[in-house]
Amino acid sequence: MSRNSADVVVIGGGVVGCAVAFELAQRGCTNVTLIERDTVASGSSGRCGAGVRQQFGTELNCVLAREAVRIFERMDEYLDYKPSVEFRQSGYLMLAFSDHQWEQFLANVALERSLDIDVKTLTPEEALKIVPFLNIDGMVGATFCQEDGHANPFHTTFAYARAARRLGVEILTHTEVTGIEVEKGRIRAVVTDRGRIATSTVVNCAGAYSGHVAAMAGIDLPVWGERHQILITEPVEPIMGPMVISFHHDFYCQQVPHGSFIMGIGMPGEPKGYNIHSSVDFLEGMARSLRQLLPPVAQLRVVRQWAGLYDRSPDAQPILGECPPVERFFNANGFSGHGFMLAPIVGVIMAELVTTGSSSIDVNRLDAGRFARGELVLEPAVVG
Amino acid sequence: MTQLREVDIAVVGAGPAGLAATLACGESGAATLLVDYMDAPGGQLIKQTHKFFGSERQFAGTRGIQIPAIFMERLSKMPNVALMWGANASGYYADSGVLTLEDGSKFVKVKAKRVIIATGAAEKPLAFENNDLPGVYGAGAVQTLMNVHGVKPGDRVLMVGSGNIGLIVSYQLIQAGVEVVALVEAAGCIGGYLVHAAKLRRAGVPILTSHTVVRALGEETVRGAVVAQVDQSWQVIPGSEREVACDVICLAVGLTPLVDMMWQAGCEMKYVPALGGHVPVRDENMRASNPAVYVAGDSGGVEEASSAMISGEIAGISAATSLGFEVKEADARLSRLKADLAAIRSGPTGEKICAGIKCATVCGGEW
Amino acid sequence: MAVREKTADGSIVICRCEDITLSEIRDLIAQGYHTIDEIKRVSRAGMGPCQGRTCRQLIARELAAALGVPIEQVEMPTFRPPSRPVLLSTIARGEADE
Repeated sequence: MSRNSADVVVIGGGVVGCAVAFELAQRGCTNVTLIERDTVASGSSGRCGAGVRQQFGTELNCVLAREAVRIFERMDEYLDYKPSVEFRQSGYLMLAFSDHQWEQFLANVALERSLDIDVKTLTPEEALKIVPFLNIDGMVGATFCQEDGHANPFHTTFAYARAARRLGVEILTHTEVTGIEVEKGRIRAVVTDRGRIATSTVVNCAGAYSGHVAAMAGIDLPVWGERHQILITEPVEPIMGPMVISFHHDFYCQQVPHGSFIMGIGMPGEPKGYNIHSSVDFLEGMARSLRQLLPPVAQLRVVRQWAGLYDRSPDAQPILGECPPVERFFNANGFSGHGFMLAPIVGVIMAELVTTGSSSIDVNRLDAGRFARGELVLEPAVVG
Repeated sequence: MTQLREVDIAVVGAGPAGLAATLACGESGAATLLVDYMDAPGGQLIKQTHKFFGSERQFAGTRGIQIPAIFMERLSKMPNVALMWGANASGYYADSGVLTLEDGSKFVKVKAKRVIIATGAAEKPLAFENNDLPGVYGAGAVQTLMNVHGVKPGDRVLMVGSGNIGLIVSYQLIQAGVEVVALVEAAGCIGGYLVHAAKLRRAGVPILTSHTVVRALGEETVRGAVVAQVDQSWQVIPGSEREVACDVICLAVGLTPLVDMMWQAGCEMKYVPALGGHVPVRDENMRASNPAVYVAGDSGGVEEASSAMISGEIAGISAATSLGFEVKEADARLSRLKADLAAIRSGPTGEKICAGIKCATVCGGEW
Repeated sequence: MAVREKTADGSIVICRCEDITLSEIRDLIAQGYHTIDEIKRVSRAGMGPCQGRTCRQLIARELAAALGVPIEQVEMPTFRPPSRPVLLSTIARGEADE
């Protein structure tokens, strides 16, 4: 191990950890060590659907997502990355299958528009103009935001990691955190299986394992793992632009630049846990939902199925910020399925909080203490 | 949801190992399902027109192509044995013990208490310039084209590799009226049995040891190759390159076990060069680290058909007895089978194989 | 079909499914991608229909040579279902006749 002390230790080499490390270094805090127990992007970041959207139902999420999109739009240049993070703004088409859902959508749209997010409301027939082979049986309406899109999660994460390294961040892979020394409410060091790093500041970006990491510092953090499954098809010529999402079916599907379709459904009753094996029930359920909603896409072959973990929090909203009772223990986790899309702005906010104590976007409502206060943030727009 | 078939033992792959395993399972009374993605059983046996050596128990004197029928004669009469051809094993889901099969139009789920993986092995690739040009084949593919479909791969073949497969397929090409312009072998000596090499020499095929192919020539298809001499560290000796006219480059540089399902099942795997690559770690009765999974034949390590039939029978007997089915004189049979295996492995190439098998077997032979 | 570079390495295909050449693999290793998984994620080598059956051994050999370790020590990614591509409509149909 090269350094045995650091100003900041970031735990977790996924997209959030790498973005945080980069943004810290950007602000002159370059004595940063990022610790990853496997390889960069080997966890959820390397397994996710990688959709990027601004269509949310709470103001804070909309603002965070909007700012994240603005960074995605210029990311190749911002991080000086080749070949490309492949951010494509091919839009998100969100489908409503009940009046109740449609009302919620309309409320979301009003909120989004008030925040400079350009979203259109569509009739089912208008949705057909965007995705002609969509099955609109039972559909009440749809919303569409052209600036939403999709990026390559591997390239994005590697881009942040490489940019961070260039600025002097040390990234230690195949290194596992085994303990966090806390004395009188202050962090003294992070202990790994390859040595001890003296530090006073930790940023916990350990995804589904953030609860375990927090426990090492004596903090009871309600973040747990929840398996989500996903599959990818063979590639074909471009036939579908946007991400198609139906909350009613807990279904999403996106054709990526390579030509393959990536898709997932939520599986009811999925227990808390760290199982990332694939199941045949998912494969069947996915095939049936796909056949129903996007019939021609079911004429493609599935090439691979896999699974990853959402880092779940009790209200399915991120946990950000400093975490009493331990000074300078910061959380950036609990994203519950929208970590990738928010990572760029979360990186900025965490770096601001760590270096100055305040952030350009107020995320106090997303602190770890909200659960004990009973102030859960209820976001209506979450998908399987 | 959908139908879920239930069996005691599913055997994946109806080559010599799978056929032998299924026979043993069938005899025990276990509800057994044998599947293969080809339309008929036999695996590599269907291409093996030559007579087998070895002991009577391993069909000495019989041609490979005749062996499947001998097994099928008995299997087809067992009411507890089901056979599915043209059914590809798509996945094994260890959490639920479900094997999925597809044949292009149906997707079948089978809940099996035990699974015996006998999926054989595949050609190793070779990296050289323009190696993706049409006309570059694996030897297995050439053998299938000729012996199963009666199709010549081309008119002038450069064979790469002097193991038994390279030697035998070269001879079969000559028998089919195809010219083998040369056989190159990177090592300093011929890898396969000299009796096969002698046949080739008599037929006028130049066998170039310490040589390898470095480039395929041609725009749309192979029209030639550049071969070169290599030194003892496999490095090309500059200036030794020369062109050979050919329209097929046939790669016979070794086989590697096909073990996807073992990985899917979460079995402990080990890289054993002598066995061809990654293989599942197993006990002496062919059981893998996932106790529901057994391995048999080339999937457990590349050897030959006789060894495959023996390890198949071992796997079948142990899978059946592990479920409580009675196999008459199981212990005695297992001892005799293991002795047969040892005898096969005591030949000239056997030492490396034995070391490889030991490497792939869990310490003490038991989990 | 990918444009072939002039160098010898550039015409040696390692991943036939995704058309990744030896020179690209060596370049990625030089950039610091030292596991098959990372190389797969950044280049797509091993993500095609054969799921790495052809290329992973070749990539492993390159890594072993570059990192100076025996090939036995190169970490192998796992395999996931399906073992060969399957029509989603077939899966949806199951055993039904429709």
